Amino acid sequence: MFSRFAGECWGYLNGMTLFASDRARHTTLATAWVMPEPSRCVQCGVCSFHCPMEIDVRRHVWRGEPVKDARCLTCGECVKRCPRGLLRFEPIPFAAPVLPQRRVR
Amino acid sequence: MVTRHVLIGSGPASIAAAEAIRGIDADAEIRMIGAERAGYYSRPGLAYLLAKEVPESALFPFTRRDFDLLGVEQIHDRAVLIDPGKHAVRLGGGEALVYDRLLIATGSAAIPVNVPGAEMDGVVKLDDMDDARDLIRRSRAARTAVVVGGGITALEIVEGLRAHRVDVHYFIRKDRYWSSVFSESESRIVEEGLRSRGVTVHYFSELARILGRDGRVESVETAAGERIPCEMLAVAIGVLPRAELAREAGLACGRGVLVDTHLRSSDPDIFAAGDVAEVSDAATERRTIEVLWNSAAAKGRVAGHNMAGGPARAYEAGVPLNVTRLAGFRITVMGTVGGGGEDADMKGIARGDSETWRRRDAGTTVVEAQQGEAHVRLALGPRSIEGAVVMGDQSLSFPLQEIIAAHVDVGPLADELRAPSAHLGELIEAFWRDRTAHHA
Ligand SMILES: Cc1cc2nc3c(=O)[nH]c(=O)nc-3n(C[C@H](O)[C@H](O)[C@H](O)COP(=O)(O)OP(=O)(O)OC[C@H]3O[C@@H](n4cnc5c(N)ncnc54)[C@H](O)[C@@H]3O)c2cc1C
Ligand code: SF4
Ligand code: SF4
Repeated sequence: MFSRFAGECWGYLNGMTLFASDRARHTTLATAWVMPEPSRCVQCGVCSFHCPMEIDVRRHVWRGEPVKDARCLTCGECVKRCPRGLLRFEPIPFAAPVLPQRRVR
Repeated sequence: MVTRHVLIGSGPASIAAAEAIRGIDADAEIRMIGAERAGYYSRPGLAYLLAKEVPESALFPFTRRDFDLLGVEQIHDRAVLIDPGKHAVRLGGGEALVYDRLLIATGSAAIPVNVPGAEMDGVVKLDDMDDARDLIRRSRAARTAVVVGGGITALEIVEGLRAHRVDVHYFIRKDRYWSSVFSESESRIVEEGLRSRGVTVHYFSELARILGRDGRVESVETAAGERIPCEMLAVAIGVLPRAELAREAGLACGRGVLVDTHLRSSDPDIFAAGDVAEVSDAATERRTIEVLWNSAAAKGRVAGHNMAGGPARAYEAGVPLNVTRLAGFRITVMGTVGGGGEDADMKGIARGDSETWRRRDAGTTVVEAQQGEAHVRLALGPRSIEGAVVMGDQSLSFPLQEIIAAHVDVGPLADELRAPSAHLGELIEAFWRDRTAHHA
């Protein structure tokens, strides 16, 4: 029931097939990252729990930072799952560094 | 000399204070006393645990390693006495911790019901991890539950019970749900949502007594004499700050620990933050308690900063905001929105609640409308938006949050919004587009 790798996560995304979403993902990847509205977050961890890349999204929100993690697939899973709807994709400002980050858990 | 900081409580206020202290003072000794075995976890996340949306393990934002990196010693015990003269805190285990600066961040506790039978097995609440585990365990066996109370917590319990297929009867004492914050149409939307989720909503129902056998709940009886068989009675009638330690130590207390805007109590070496702090603003003469996760963290940050001797910083209450899901609707409440009613279902303040919401300044007018997928209500000042409730689609809540928080002078927009049959959504979106274009 709690599987992080639920089929829908990989196979379908908002009704798109993996192939189509893959294409969408590449365009998003180049231009957008996940941006939080930290004042709405209660650190419940739903986002981190559902991230297929095991990125600790919650930690980024606590620090008030966008998810600058090179592993982010921009799959939208965290955005969709946050029960408080505070995560959004936003265009990456020009030349902002996207650093690989180790998961801190 | 190394400064010794002792923090009582292991919630967001204490965590944020520890981070702020460490940010200023690399050498400080930081000890955090927590009575709960679970330590630091997302208390609001308990609602998602009950609703089976996340496993328990997902609720912990920090690992032991994080505490090590932060240089915080966690002490699993209960503080039983503060001795301000000796600068010491005594623990349940007998040990005494000496402090230079002390933070009281003990949170708030549910108010128990005061009716015959309240001590019986089967009367439950939702304060902490143990309560959540207990509720889940009982939900697996129970067929019927009665829920009394109001605010967010009552409905989160309802939702959790429904997720475990328990039949739920929800008692409302007067004619509608959460009337101190919601308007009548908002209350009705939520009540209708509850019914569509299979909940039986009882109006003008006052719990009179709890009946049972061998100390176990078997039914409840209303003041009108109606009897409902049930194995569980869940109570969420409000919370009170856990201020006993401070009170016994002789610190100035109101309902909570009284602090100035620097979060300092009547003892200069003792601070308070989070649910337990009652902030007294000398400028406005207002005393405010907030039972909100983010306000707790924000207060903790300011308290920690001042404890570590940073240049004095004041807590600015900002605009209290909460997003919740009630009966399946996503709802944002921000600023002063006063629902007009007196809340008969609550005794203290509700969790996830701010007293600011209940206020409505004289001179504000209220408009509300259904706008596509959202129900929107605005409290309008002459040239400002003072508060808002957005139910359903949340797109409008983001510009509104910024407009309300920054006290944006909205000029003629306020009058346009007041016009009969004004399209609130379009007006606000157009205003926000213009403004962000100009400020970009
Ligand atoms: C079910 C539920 C739903 C909620 N929903 C929301 C929401 O939607 N939005 C929102 O903003 N907020 C919500 N809240 C409120 C939010 O969780 C609190 O405002 C916040 O946790 C307060 O933080 P704090 O640090 O002041 O104290 P707490 O998080 O309450 O932590 C205090 C800790 O101190 C411990 N303690 C108390 N006395 C002692 C002692 N003498 N010695 C040692 N330890 C002690 C307690 O056991 C507790 O673990 C909700 C709370 C609950 C329970
Ligand atoms: S799911 Fe949303 S509220 Fe929960 S921790 Fe993540 S960002 Fe915060
Ligand atoms: S968009 Fe997907 S990969 Fe990126 S942080 Fe969110 S859940 Fe993880």
